[in-house]
Amino acid sequence: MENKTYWKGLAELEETPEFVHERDKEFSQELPIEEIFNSNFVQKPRARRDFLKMLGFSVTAATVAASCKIPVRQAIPYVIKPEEIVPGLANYYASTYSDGSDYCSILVKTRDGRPIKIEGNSNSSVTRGGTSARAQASILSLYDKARTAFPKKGDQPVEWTAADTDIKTQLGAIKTKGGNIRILSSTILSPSTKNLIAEFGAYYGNTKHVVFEPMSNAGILSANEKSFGKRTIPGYSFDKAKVIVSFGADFLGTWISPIEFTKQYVSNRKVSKEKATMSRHYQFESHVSLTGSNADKRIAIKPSEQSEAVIALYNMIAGFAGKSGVTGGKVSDKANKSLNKAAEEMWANKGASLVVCGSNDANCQTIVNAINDVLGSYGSTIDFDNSLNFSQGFDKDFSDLVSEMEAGSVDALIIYNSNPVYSFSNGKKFGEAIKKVGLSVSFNDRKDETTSLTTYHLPDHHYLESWNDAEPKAGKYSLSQPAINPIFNTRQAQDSLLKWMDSTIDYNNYLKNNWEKNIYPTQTLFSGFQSFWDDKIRFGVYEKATVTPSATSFSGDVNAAASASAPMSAGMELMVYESVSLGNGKYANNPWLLENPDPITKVVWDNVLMVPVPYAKENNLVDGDMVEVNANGVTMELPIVLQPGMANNTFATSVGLGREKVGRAGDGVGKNVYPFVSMIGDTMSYSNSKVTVKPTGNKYELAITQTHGTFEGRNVIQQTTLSEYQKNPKAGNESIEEYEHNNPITLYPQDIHQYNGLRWGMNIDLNSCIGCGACQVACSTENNVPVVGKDEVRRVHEMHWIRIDRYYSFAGEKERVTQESHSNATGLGNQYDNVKDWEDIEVVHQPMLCQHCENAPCENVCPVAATNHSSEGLNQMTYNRCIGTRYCANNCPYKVRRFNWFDYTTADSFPWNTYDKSQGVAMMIDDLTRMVLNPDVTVRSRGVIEKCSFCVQKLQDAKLNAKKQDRPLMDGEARTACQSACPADAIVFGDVNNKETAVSKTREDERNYYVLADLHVKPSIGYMVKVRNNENMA
Amino acid sequence: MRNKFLVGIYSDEDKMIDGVRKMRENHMEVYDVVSPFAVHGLDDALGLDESRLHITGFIYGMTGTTIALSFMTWVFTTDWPLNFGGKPHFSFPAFVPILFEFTVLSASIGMTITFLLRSGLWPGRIREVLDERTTDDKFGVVFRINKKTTEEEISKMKQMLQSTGADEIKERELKNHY
Amino acid sequence: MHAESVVRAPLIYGDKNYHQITEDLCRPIEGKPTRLYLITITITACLMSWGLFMIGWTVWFGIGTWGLNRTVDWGWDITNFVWWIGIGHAGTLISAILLLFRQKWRMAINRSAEAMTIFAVICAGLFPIFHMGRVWLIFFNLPYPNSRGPLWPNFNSPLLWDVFAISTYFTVSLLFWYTGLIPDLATVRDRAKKKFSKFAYGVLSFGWTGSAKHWQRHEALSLVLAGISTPLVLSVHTIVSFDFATSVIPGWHTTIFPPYFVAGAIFSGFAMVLTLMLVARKVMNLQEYITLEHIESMNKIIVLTGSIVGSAYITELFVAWYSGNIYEQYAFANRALGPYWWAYWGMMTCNVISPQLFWVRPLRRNVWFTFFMSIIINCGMWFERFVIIVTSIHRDYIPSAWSYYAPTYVEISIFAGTVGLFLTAFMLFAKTMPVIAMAETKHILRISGDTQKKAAAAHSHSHEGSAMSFQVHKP
Repeated sequence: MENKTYWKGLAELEETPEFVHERDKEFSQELPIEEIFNSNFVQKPRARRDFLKMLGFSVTAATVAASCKIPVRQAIPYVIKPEEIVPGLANYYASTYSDGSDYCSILVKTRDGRPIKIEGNSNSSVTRGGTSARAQASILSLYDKARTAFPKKGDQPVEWTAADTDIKTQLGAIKTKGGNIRILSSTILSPSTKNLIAEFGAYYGNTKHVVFEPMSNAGILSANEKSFGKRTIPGYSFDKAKVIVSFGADFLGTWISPIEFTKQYVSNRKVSKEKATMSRHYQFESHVSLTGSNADKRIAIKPSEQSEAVIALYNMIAGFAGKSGVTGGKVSDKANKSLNKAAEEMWANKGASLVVCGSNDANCQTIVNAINDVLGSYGSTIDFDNSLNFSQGFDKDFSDLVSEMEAGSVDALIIYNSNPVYSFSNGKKFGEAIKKVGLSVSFNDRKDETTSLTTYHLPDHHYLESWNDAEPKAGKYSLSQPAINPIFNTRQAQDSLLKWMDSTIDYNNYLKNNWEKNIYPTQTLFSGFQSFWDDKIRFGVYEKATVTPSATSFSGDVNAAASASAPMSAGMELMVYESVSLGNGKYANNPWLLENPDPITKVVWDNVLMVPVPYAKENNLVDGDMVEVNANGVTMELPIVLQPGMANNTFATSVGLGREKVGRAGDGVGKNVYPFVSMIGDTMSYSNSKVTVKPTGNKYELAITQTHGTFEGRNVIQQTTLSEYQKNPKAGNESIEEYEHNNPITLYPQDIHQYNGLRWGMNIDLNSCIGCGACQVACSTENNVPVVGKDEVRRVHEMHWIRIDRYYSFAGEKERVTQESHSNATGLGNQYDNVKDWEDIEVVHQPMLCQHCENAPCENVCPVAATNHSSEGLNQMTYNRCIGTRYCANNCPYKVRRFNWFDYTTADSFPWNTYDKSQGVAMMIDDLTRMVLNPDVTVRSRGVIEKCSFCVQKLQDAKLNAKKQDRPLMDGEARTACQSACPADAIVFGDVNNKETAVSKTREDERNYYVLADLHVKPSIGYMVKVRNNENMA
Repeated sequence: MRNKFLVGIYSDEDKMIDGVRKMRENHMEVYDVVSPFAVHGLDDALGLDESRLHITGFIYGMTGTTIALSFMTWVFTTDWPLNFGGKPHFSFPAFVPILFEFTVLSASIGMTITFLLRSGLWPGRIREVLDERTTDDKFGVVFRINKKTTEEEISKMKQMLQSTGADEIKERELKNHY
Repeated sequence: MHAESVVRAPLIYGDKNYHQITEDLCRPIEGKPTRLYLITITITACLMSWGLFMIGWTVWFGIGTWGLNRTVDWGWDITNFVWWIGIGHAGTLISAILLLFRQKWRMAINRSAEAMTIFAVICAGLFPIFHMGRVWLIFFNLPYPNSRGPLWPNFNSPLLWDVFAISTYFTVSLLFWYTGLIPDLATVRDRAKKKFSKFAYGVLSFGWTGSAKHWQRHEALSLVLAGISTPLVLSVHTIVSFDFATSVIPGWHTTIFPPYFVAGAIFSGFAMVLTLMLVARKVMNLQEYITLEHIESMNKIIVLTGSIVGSAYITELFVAWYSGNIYEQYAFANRALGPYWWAYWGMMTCNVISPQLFWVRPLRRNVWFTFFMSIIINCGMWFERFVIIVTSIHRDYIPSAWSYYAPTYVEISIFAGTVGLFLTAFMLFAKTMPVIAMAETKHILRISGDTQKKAAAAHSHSHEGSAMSFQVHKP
């Protein structure tokens, strides 16, 4: 029977248009989700309903997305607790931070399975417990949301298995047709990885491993090849050198192995009554480098003057040695005088002197080798037996690779931790070339400039998630072990290679086997491999005995090198250097590093053009003017900073910023200045001549944390010279007598406040502190110090608990000028009067943090008693009592108290009122990034004051341990974050009631002084007078 | 009957004062004088004894001082001795400002409240006025009339008021005692 | 009866009697508000609301919306606080000190001066409250028993002293002002025709009848309140100055501050009283009650306090040089020549140089000039507070921390808002309550009234007159 149709009313029967319209309106349409995702939806006019649908959808989506993050799972309490984890107690795992040429043997502090802090590993003879700002900050990039969370083909997610099969078939095809496979990486310190790459090469044939270093030392490599037949970087011993001459080598900041060199350098810079001697350090450089700022004598020379200066020095030394000189060597009289001095002194200390050069020009380096050879440095301060494995980039290999790729003769390119599209001077060219490569795979951790052009993106683990080893120095091995499960669906690059070699074992076992085969046999202590392995995992390092260096014979051709080196050129020049905290730019998405002030310019969140002051004055430029720089055929607009100490006619700017695809914090911050790097011969050159600079008239508001350059001759800084110190240990610290005399005089009844038991105190040695800024990052990490972003720093709202004050003093009429004139009505511009020579500056770095005064002015004025004095002499803050009148901050003579101007941490009483959503802040308040927070330290809310607490949580921890073991606290057991991070051991901390502790001893020292002692606030932090070994260095 | 008053309205305060004097010389009991402002010499004319308000003020003040000092001392030495910038726990000079302020505060508040209560003044207190002009420019001399007051007494009051220059004399009965 | 020397100029002009006074002084209250009045109060109310909105903005987003920074933690907020508190000093001072000195001329102005005090203190109070980072925890300032274990405020802190000083000052001024108002409110009550106003003023006048005993107590109370207000008014600004004087910051840590601040307060207070009174005098045509004598005597006090302030500035400079303390020396060199030189020289011109013009009698008695000067002085005093607070801390001990401070629109708006609040409140007061103390004016009419004096002079021989005048000069 046919089924009847029922209808209500004729309209439905006839389906009149009005009726249809009405009927359709009666019920809602489908969710237009496809539409939302297809692009042209945006242009469509949105109905209210659609809006509501989208709202509903996005809320649900957000909820779903937010509720399935891996770290959240860890919030679930343990059913069966792993024995190594005690909630609330930290575990430390020995590991290795190694990334390109960065190396540091470390301990990883984990809390409840989360790595939250990096400490130095004192077992390593290379870094000896020191760390760098980058090592400290590297923990943050573990929780970086910008890391790629899963393997991708192009832009589409892909399964690992699918990727593997596809890649293997392609590689197989290439193998059969005998095509070329190239592996492009940064320097690899891991011997096992090197083996693996070699094996991989053997497996597929026609494979070449190219190392690319953006800031390369290829010049040294090839010079050593020419001079000694070894394409290696030798080991340097700055501790053995009595006289150090550096031609623009920033060995404390960025050159080859800064942490190691810092340790060596400062060991010979500390002075005491017992050892009243120190090394003598000449620095010939063009811009003000971190090393230069610590030199006894800085001589500013133009970049193109460098080779000339080296030649000049060679001729002088050769003269002493009775050798014939070489052609060239025309330098300014000023430089010439100092070079003469240096030559004499080095000759006098034959075998105990060292010349290093930052140039990447093989000829220049050859002459440097010659000098060191004549001085007999090889075998004493330089040796090839304990050579360094850093900076293996050989520029020619890379340029060859590029041309190969352009020729289309590369069939497969595997990129491991290298990003040439950003960091190669002609990145665009490289990007084009990639397109010509059949199969391109990138292991980089994020979809950066290069990776976004590759076919496959197979993200590597973060180093804290992976197994690995490193051999920074011949015979000095160290191990990395995972400190956390992989956060994202990533896979270690080595495992990928193994998979493609059809290997059955994973990299962990490969590593073990490699050690068992190659490293275990070199020792005799352990009988079984497992015990050996366990021990090394535990301690993190395995070191063969240091080989006693053997002399090496120099066979380079000095004359050829001299004649080949270019003469000094006229006109303005530009030099490009590596930023101390940001390095070559890989960590440009790390807010801690971005907000860590440059040690010299104190600029954050930007890279600027350093301009010599005289030039700026005659072109009436001021800080923050935008100029158009034209060099190496590239034009770029950069903001300027007036930089005292620059060589006249020289500009400088730093690489490390201007990333386009690095993440929300770093994208578009600063400018990428790699294009200024030029390829000269086989090596990259980091300086340009014939530079034109013209003001564009634009203004740019820089974020600078210190705008006043001198210490106004106040007793904030006390300094003397070595000979003065030898005569009188109290030299430069005469005011201490007055202080010690006045100190007991007080209106208050005596000993009203007893500090029985422990009493904490600190001492900072201005001779050791090099101003690198590692302590600043360490402090922020340990104490959850918020990142505030560029705009907030512009408004002078930065939050660092410890800052490093950098003061200049200038060559004046008679004595050095440390005072600015009072008639400086412009306020912020640095108008130093009666400065005669803008090139000749002396710099002092002074870490400044809460002084924990015994008579703290901040404590009296707090109306609610939120800050007061502990029985251990700590000036303590009670955040949840603070009502934020900021009176304490006003009344602090050292201006070290910090106020939470906005809700930087989303810890506020009012939700959703974060005023400043700048990139850095937005990243730091992200749920994943907040995993890095230290659970022992309160996250401060808006409207409260905060400041250095002497890491009270660590002190309590140390005391608790001692108590549990029922013994008194040992000296050096309680360490502050800044102290343990310091690569220069400048900070001593401990109990001042106990006369045996290191800090008590420093208080007895004649050099010990207190900043603003005459205020009678009785600080708990002493500083050691800065001693300069700078008499008659011309 | 008990709230009955005889009011003589004067427009010259000197006449009024002389009048009051005369009445008291004649042993007449002047109940009260209402005036738009404080008339000098009226107090002794009426034979009012001096107000003791300032004495209470002193007492309140001293109480305040004692409370403040003892409280601050107790807090800083006994209950919660903290070390603020190395200062002594009992830092008397630092207590002085608060001591003083609290003294003044207690004295003035105490006195004002006493004044209001004593004079039966408080917010919303509505009194019937004998004559509305007495807050403007007139002065009223008030006699109380109760059961015992005899007619001739009343007439004596009236003519006494008249003789001393009252412009106008009227009897008023109020609902309640003012 | 008292009489007064003929040579002493009368304080009330025109042929007045008690009733006339009541009429004159009640007219503004009883009449309908004029168009001008309505327009003005609308403007000031809008200003006030905008300021309050900006306060809300600050509370919601944080103090970061202001221009303060890690070195300069106090700027316009505390500057305005001190400025307003200074202005708030005139009222109580006039009523209290001048009452003790039996200065009759005070009676024309004390009522409105006290009102001004109260409103100024309210404006002042807003700043220390809302400059707090976490204003919702303001009760932490109070010593209240709590469950957080023994937890009390810090009685060493000048800020806590402020809390007590300001609240005490506010309370006492309020009591003083209101007890003075009660009889006049009763007058208004008894004149009121409308039922509502009769009721309202009835409530406000506490049932005052003018009974002799009440008057006696009332006088006693005013006298004692005056007595304790005198040291109080001096103590308040002294304590405010302690905020700075007890600190370690060069330019703040100065023992001269208490007297110098008090003088400054009277200085600015009188200026503000003049500003308001000259306007009120014109608008409510009270020329016969607020006479040139009043204006002149005020100007005399301005010259005095202005000179005190001036010499304080000079003393500071001298001490800075004489102390040999390099920080102190730099602080003052920086005031005069540093980035904030304009504030310093603005202060110097407005406060030290210009008031000296009041030595010239015609200028003292020139209404327009006085009005102009009163504005100038208020600007000058604002500069003074800004100079003391900001230029001292923006460059203190550690040169690396030096910075510069400029206010944001939020701070400026809040300040403007308080001005709006102040004017609105004053206008409401002027429309609802007698701006001149009626009872007291009547009290002095016989003695200082123009006609009355003339009459007295007429039937008395010159030597008697002089004898009388001699007699009244006794306290």
